[in-house]
Amino acid sequence: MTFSRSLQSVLFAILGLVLTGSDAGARGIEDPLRVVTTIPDLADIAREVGGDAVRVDCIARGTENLHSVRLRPSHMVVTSRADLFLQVGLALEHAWVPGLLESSRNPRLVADGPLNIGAGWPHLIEVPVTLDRRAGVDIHPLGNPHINLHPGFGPFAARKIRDRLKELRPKSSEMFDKRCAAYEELVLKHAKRWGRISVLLKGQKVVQYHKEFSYLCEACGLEMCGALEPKPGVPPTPGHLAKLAVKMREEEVRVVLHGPWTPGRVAKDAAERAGARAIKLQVMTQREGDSWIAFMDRSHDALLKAWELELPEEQPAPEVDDG
Amino acid sequence: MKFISNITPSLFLVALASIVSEPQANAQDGQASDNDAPVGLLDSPAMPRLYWGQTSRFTNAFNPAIGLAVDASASHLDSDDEEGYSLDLNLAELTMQGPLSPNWWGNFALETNSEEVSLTESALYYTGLGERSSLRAGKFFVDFGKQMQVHVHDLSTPERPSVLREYLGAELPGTGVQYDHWSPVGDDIAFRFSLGLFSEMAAHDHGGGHDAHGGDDEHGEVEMHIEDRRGLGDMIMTARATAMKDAGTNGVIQLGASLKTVPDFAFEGGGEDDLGAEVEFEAEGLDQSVTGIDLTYGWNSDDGVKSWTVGGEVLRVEGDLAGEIVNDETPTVGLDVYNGSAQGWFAFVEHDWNQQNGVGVTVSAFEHLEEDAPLDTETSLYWSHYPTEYTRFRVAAINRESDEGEDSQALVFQLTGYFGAHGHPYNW
Repeated sequence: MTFSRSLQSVLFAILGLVLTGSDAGARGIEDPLRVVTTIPDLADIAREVGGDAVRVDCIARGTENLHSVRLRPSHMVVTSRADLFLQVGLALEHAWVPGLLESSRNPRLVADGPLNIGAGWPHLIEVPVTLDRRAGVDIHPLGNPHINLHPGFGPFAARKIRDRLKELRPKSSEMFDKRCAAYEELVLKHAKRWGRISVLLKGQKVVQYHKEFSYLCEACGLEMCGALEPKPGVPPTPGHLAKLAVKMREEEVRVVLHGPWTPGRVAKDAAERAGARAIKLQVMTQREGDSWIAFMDRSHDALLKAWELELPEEQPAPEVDDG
Repeated sequence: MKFISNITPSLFLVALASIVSEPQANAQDGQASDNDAPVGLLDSPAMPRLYWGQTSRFTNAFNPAIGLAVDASASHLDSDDEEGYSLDLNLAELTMQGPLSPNWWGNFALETNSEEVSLTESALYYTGLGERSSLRAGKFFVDFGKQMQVHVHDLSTPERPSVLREYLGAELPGTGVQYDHWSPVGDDIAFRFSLGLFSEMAAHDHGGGHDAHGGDDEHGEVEMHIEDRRGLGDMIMTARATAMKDAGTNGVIQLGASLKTVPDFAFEGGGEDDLGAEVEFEAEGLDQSVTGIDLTYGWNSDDGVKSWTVGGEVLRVEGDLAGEIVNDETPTVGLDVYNGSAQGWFAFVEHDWNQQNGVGVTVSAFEHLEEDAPLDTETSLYWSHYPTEYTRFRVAAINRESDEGEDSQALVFQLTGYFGAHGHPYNW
């Protein structure tokens, strides 16, 4: 029993070290609030609203399938120290957020739970009529959760984040209000251009690999003619792709949209079969050096380019003679 | 979203403004009406105080998540003892889990392989002890190594590596309590330890007809016996310490050490003496321990779809390892206890090249718990295909070689399906 006794001693020694030197993390009341977000879109918006009053960490890189993000020890560490955890909700991150919160055992998050940005989103689409696995395996009972691709997401999320930050740090309420208002104004400036692009795109027909661009398509007036997945979450089958190719030719669909995580070759083959082209779009803001506004700018520009359209120069507004 | 169909830039902005107006009532916060409870218990001073008000509201609103897993296989085995095909229901497993209150949750797993029904998990977990600590009580899988907490049907191989089956069992639920705590070390290391005390720990097989080695604590006609009641110091103890660290931008590395001790048990067996009379034997005051060191490295691509996992575990078992009825043509029959040590290990490499497909190879070798410690080596090659995340089809080829000459080859086709929620409370 010598070997096991030695190991037993080592285990107890480690235990003692951990108990005596645990991560107490004493923090002052003026230290930045620690915010953890599931997607980079929320991280960017939280930084815009919170300014220096927040320190934001993000879990997803921006390139993954959001239903299957792989977690790392550093994610557990930041979540265990968080004052606020932000997720889109609507079952977008439900495959990994409950496990992360359970494992991180942060009592602040147990008490308050994550802030679901998508709760109360007023324009949910693709809400299933019945919940039945025969309708697909990637079924979201509350509707399509990819609301971060809607032009209204930025301001909507900013207001919800502002309200929670005000609760957590009332002393900085005025600052949060100002920063939120400034951010909304900035989004509206960009949204004006997105609106002009949507005028050009209106009525164009599109097919998606997985229905993760539906909000962007709807906002741009694109007509969605199907998906390469026969049912949500079910990989494309030869029979379905053959039928879809016929439909795409009949309806003159010219573009197939797919995300970074979906097989690009399948999308390309399916598009070429129908005389269309496959376009890879990001499904969220990138974690490093990106912003939600820049992501939405890029997404709209990519759609313009996909249909080989050009946005005409904006005419200056006529001067108003107020005399 | 019809608002955006007749688009002009100005209308677009109006529509945008409607979205960013103050959030409406949370659609997820709907409240069930009291009328949803069609029956209730009479709460009167004349009645025993069995429940508080909320527990006697008979609605489904707060029920645990219920799931069913079905795992079946078709296999061909070619060994010295037997040869042929077999169709097996490995298991049908009913699971339930959910929170009881903010600091309590529980889970339950009942499985059957059409021959016997066994309760493999039924435990309550308390998370209100303080930051990053939890306490569990009931029946649950022991925290040993990287694999033993995982049910066989959730493994990436059709069977648990042979060294684990031999030294710990195909599956090893224990009845007891376990304390669990983890701590951050710096920004990218998570350190965890657990301590468990068990009064009962019985390994059981997972069904399937291709396991030529079993994996329980029986050694011939000799069985391990543990008294129902004994001192705290004589309880079965488990301990595990493990650290997990980010390795680069896409990798994770984990190192762990585990211990299981059985401080006081007996070997019991029966046989016939030279006169043909039934005799029973018992060897008391025995002890045994298993220790293990595990190392795992995992990597996944930026899109989270492709991955590589490499790992392994070394185990050593010491103490009173086995008992054997000895009848060596002498007038007396006796029970021999083998006291010594044995070692074993397994290593694996797995690769998922997309969401639907993964391949792997596992090699496992161990010394038998016998005097001469003959060596047994097992190699498994496997391919898992997921038509969807609720269905898995697997093909595996398994080769076993033994110093005792009990070689075998098996080809296994396995089909697993999940209805509803499926999950077990695995720790890392």
